[in-house]
Amino acid sequence: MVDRHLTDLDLVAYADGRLERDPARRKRVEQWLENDPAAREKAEAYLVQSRLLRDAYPLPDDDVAEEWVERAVAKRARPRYRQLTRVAAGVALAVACGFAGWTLGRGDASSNPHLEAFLDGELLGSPEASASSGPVAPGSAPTLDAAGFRLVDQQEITKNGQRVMRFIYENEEGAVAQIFQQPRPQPLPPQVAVAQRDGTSLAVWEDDAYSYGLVIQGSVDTVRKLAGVARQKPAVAAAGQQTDHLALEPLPAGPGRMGPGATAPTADALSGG
Amino acid sequence: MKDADLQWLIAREIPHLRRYGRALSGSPDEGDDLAQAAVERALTKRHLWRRDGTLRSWLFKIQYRLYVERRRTLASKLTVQDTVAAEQLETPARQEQVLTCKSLVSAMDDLPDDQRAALLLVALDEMPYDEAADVLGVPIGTLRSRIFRAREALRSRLVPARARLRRVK
Repeated sequence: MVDRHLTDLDLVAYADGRLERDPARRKRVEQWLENDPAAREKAEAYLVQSRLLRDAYPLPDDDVAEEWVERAVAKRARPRYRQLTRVAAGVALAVACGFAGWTLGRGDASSNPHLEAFLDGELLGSPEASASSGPVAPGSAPTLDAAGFRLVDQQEITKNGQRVMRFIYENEEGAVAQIFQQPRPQPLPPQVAVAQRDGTSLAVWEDDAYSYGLVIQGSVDTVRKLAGVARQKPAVAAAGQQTDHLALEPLPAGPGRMGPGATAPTADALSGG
Repeated sequence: MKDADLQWLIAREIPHLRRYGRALSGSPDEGDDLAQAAVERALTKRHLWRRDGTLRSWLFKIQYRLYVERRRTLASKLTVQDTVAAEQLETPARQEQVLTCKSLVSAMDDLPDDQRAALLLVALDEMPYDEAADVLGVPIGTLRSRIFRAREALRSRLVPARARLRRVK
């Protein structure tokens, strides 16, 4: 007699060996097979399929595992420079396109030498620039946890006395967001300006001590949302959290600290208004 | 976990990744390339491995996503029959089985991608249903349904093939 509560899915599970942990159900399927030749033929066919599949696709017997891992590790040892180059290319794109030509916020395009210096492709891409990495200690880094991005790396980039902190974030899908942080000479009202060019979106803002630039391959909405998340201060610092040894001290006000001829941005320039 | 330990664990899974990659893509070269890319990505993104799942399912998930990404960019579907047949015909004593294998592989190639991916995980690597569902990013009921449809499609293709073999004998 056929058990009406059993289905073909149970037959498949039986053939796949997935009823081992459910002996009662397994026994019912076996009783079904004893009484139903058609079901038995199906189950046998499924078992043959699995055997043939294993015959058709054997485990490779040439041992390349160690070599592959070594190669992958060697590739991994180079990412800092490659990531830097990639970011430099992205930022250089922004600069090369003419930051003045970008539409910042809702207003008209406006030149912003401070930002150009801040996001200077030469600064990031030049061989003269030095980059040093340190352990990820998110004490001074903006957090993007609420947007699903985790801080995975940070670097201090220096050239000609200019220092920029670069924070790299990743989400589970492997998307990368990067925040550049530079001490600013003097506090200005916080503003966020966004721009997009060729699929690269940029948000810039400042707080009472730093200028920030967030670059991501994605939409303006995405970068605006991430900037909003990044600007939120953590409610409570993690207990025992170590101070970020790469954290930058705010610079005193003065000409030339942000690059030749650079001036501190005004809130109007940042918002495009 | 130390990097060296993780690397050792990943190395142990490489043969399984290669087999799945080869079966999934239908090409030894493409399969190895997929597996190698998965290993590289896993080592680069090792911080994203959540310990609540097995390393194997995480690696397979990475590889499957790579496969899907590449598949989207491929204009034509790869064929697998010749590759497998050439390898298997090197053992003449198993020619009948080889022919059946060839029919099976041909039938596998005709399966929709999602069904083939599901069946291979379970039949080749004997992955538990919940892990296989996680690898493919589908509910377990969907996975079981795909496996059933795949097995039925293979059965309908293989039964006549085996019958033909018997008649020839």
